Amino acid sequence: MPVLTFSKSQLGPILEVSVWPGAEALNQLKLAGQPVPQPSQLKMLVDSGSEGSVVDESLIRPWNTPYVSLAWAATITGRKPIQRYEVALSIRGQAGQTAWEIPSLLVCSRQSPFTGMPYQGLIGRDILDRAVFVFNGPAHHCTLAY
Amino acid sequence: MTIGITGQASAFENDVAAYLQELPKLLRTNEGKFALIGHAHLEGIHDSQELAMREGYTRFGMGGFLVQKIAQSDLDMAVHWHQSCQS
Repeated sequence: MPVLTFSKSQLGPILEVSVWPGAEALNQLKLAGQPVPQPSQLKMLVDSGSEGSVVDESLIRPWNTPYVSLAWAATITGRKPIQRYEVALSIRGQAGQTAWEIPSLLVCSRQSPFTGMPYQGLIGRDILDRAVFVFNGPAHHCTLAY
Repeated sequence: MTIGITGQASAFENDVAAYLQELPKLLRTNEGKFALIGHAHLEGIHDSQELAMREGYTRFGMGGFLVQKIAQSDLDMAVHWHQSCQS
């Protein structure tokens, strides 16, 4: 299994990730004659408490790709449905390590959910279910084997 | 029970309402399969998410659609949502 190694920050395990439209969404953009967006670079927090991965809506909305599913988000007033989009991810570790490429994944999109935080997305159990994640507190580093 | 949206709703909200409207019936006949909803209508039932997604892109292209695994949990969430909309 390839392994990504990264440092544990004060706020927890945060990874460098590139995100762009998923394989079929990208195909639809091309068929519609729309420009293909450049990958967005962002930081994502590994969150085993989150069922699905989440990306800040401001990164996805400009692509003009369609929503393809729904998820439920907890708000102050209760639950509400939120949109899910098909994206591709490239998760990076330290220099020289082979990035983990995920060509198609449905992620939840939320409006400014991480205000004030140094990350713009969450890596949830939909990704962690495919990997072995080790949080080594005393050594201040984490590994993600995929 | 009626679950729906009144007033001006987005295409997404209309799709959600259409899915939730069909969900009690779908749970009796197709639990675990994947529903495809677009233009606020149930468009089909598929055995896999992949097949439903492919069909969704083919039918609706750049318009939004929903591919949803038919599950009781969505109905439970919808009840909370409906209650919060009313309060």
